[in-house]
Amino acid sequence: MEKEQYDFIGQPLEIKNIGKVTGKELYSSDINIPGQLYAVILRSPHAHAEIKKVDYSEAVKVGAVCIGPQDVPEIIYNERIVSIPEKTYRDRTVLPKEKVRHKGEALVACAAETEEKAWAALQKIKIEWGKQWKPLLTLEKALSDDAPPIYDWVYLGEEKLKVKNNIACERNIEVGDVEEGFREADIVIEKTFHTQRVYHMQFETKSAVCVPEADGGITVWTTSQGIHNVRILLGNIFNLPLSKINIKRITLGGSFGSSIQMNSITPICVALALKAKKPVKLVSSREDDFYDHAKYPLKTILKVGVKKDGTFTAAHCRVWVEIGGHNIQAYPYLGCVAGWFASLYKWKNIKYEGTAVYTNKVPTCAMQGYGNPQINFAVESMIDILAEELKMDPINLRLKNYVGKGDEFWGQGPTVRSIIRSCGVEEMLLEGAKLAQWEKRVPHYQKKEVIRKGMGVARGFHTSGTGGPNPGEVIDYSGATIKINEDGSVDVLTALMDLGGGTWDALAKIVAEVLKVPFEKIGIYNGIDTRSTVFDVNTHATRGVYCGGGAVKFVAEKVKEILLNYAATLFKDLPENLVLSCNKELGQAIIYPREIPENYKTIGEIAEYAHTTSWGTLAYTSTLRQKNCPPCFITHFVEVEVNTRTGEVKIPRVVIMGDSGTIINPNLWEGQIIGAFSRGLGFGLLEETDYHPEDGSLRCKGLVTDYKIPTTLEMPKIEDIIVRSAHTYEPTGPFGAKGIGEAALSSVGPAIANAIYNAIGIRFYELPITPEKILKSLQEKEENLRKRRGE
Amino acid sequence: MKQIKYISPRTKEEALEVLQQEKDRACIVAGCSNVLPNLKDKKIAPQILVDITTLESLKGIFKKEGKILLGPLTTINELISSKIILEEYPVLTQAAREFADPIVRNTATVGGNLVTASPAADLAVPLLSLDAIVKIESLGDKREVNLINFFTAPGETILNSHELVVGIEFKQSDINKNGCFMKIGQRKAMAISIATLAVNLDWKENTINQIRIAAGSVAPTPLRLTGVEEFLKNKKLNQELIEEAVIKVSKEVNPISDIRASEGYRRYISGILFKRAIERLAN
Repeated sequence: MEKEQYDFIGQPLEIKNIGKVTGKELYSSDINIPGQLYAVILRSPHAHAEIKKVDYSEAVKVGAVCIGPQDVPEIIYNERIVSIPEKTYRDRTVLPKEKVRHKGEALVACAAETEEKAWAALQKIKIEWGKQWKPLLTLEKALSDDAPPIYDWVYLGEEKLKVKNNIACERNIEVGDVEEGFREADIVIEKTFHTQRVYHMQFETKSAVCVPEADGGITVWTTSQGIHNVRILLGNIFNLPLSKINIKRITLGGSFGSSIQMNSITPICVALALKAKKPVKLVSSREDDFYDHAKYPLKTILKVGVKKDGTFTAAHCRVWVEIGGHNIQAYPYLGCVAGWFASLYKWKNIKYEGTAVYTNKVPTCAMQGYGNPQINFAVESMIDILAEELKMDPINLRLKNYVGKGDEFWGQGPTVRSIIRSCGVEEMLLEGAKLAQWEKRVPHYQKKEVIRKGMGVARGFHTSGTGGPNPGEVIDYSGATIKINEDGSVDVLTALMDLGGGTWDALAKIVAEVLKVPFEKIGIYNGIDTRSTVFDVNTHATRGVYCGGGAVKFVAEKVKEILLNYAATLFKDLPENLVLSCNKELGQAIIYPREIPENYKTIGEIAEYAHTTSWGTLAYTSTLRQKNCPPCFITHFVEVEVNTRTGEVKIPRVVIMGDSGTIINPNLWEGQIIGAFSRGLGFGLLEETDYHPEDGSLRCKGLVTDYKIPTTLEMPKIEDIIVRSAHTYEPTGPFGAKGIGEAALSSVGPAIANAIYNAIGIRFYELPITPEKILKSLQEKEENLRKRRGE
Repeated sequence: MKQIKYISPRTKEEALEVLQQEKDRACIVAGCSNVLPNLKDKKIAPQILVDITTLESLKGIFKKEGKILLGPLTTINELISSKIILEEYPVLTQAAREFADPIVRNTATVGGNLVTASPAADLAVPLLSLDAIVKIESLGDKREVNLINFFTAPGETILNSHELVVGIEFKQSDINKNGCFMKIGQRKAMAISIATLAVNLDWKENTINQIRIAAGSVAPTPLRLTGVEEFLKNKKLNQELIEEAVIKVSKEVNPISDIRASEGYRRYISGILFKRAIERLAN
């Protein structure tokens, strides 16, 4: 590991984004344009029905501007254009043309001078429905031979494909010979696992404001994780040159992946504004949002072969995902699930079969992990099952088989392969075990108390970005313009989005470190849009620090080169003889000839001189593609207390070990890990979006009254959440850094499930593990024992 | 959304006059923690909102002649911070502490919790086990109803549309001093209860003189489990009796299955909550 002395990297953070803590930060819904209209959306009351006629003439008579299926462009698109076009399935238009495919699908939109008038107009819209079908809500129903087709045709790239049995796409991968592998095994175990649909529950619901400009172009403020992709899509849908579309980068109130794609409301708002020729504002309600996106669920049948000594010989993994009414990139999802699965352990021989199936439910999309927490639940539960069968310590079985340094990592699936160069897995398992007092763990059959304690371990990872030595199916590059201002302060212009995890702060720190300019003199907020920035793909795939930070570091180093070259002319010396350092007393970066620090000039003075002599601006613009995607690792040791009378699960203590290489912002890093634990707790124990089997509506009706995520009261006390970092350095990352965000969630679910098993001896194959399920299983276990005893 | 009129009467009499005139068209509002979500969810569609939050005579906690009178506008947080409630009627403090979250507790009122008549009304349960009386007034008339007879169906009470709850009253007594509230929900704050249960117990030398058991979220209305109360009266309190009573509690409640829990779980968990409560009171 390299040892470097940093001025800013790894230092505790002073809060840079003060707007967030004072309530002054602007979000899309805070934007107001003089003369704007307010838009509302009529959503489908049916889950699967033919649209015969949409008549909004009465709404127009009361002064509303309306758009229906007949008004939107014919362009069929996929709202998520992170993958290359030839691997992108396309099935949707801005509003559905022939039929609705899930309840709550946007169908007609109205805009009027006030929201009240828009609502009143909406009541006057008449829809004539044709054929209606009973909603297909499960994999089994959607795949059955007599199921009505949700789509007849979709596109893959430019190719028109017939949809068979509602199968949206498939992905099959084979490495080695699994049958041979299973023959070599001493033990072969097969189990079926299910993870559920959860809702993103990001604070900010999706919003958009669109201004039609005098030149025929548009300016848009909208909830998004990547403004350039929104621009490209809008250009494609509305046939506008990109130079006439400007998307403003505006702060996000969280997203958890739900705005990787262009949000469904964004083109609706644009279509309304273009028709009205006036600015239009569209803010989703929470109910709208619930009917707009959810996390991909997963059904997994996993079969693993292992030798007596704990060496794996083969794994066969079959997965199914029911994706809802639209395909928001289920194809790369299936690829990623394969990648996460293949990169956890050295299975030797792999067979993977993935199937994505349309249903009449809310469309699913990425949510913190893109399949990683889902497949991790199956794999990490399976490791514990195998360890028990082998009479091995679960930690030892993991240590024996994990994919680590020098091994091949599949990153974003089979097409993005790279070699792991930094890995803290062993350190995290062993140190974590010490901190968690793993050696005091007692087997479940020795526990008889009403409240039974248990401890479980699970480990996971996520990719940092989607780069590889060769570009794969995923587009991945970032860029920036960095300029030293006339007073020596620095502007960083990047389209990279901060999802709330502090990515902009991390980037500012990286620039501060390269240019030795104090952190508070780096400007990175506000005033950014697609017109003023070079392309950035998106903040997803835990790529913010590694890819975005990597690009910013690359550009900052170019600026440093320009600065030193210019300074050399002032010092009448060679650039390589100059030293750039931070003088904290002056609050300035300074440059001096080596060994003569007293002859320093501040870069403020240098920049001012460049300005007054009309030399020019010290600035540089470029993009960078990271040629790697190192895994950031995580390990969870979870303690549980299961109340055998009520089925309630309490988590008194947790030890979380993270490996992000160099940590840029230690307190934000810890915040990401603790926040992800809370979300994982919801995923593991609490959350699920249920549907009414008859009409395909959400049982919670899109209201938070009946969709609960954990509060702070469900978390362990802050002093009982122990977070530690592995001592690693990623040679390909900016200052040795990798990501953390999605990794932090990946193994929470199985760690809880493994801990519950250790407490009560019951293995759960389905999330969430609710008190009711626990109680039922305990009663069944009792009954079986009684039967066995012949009572 | 339809237009809704808003009235803010200056006196109780003025409020009663408005109710007399408008009857079903009016909806009384105070804390608004239920009315606003219900409006949004289209569960109610009033034409006039009558805001009584400025009526001082309906606020406060008063002690008189061995009784306590709660103004219906008493907020949940006011209950929590009342010393007399904590000392003499702890079951109510316990329930108030588990009510929603601190923000809602600042606005939600006792009266509102009762008249909304949710089967899951968290304060109805301890007030039932305190054997509370509801004081009701209308223009030129007044009456008192035992809380046990107040609720009629989910969201419905015996209250007529021209009537206003003006007080909630309960006695100072040994049994009211010895109470315990138990709640189970999907999470620990801001969650509609899956089941709640309150017990008030008066016992001497191991014999139960009197017991009151109330339960919420396990029937169309919050209710008293009078069958179990009868069964326990004058009996020696021991583990065997508790186990028997637990089964009886599970049988007497009358829950439904919904998004939050199944009927079976609610029946079972009611018994467990009773067991926890009685064991706590007996120790």
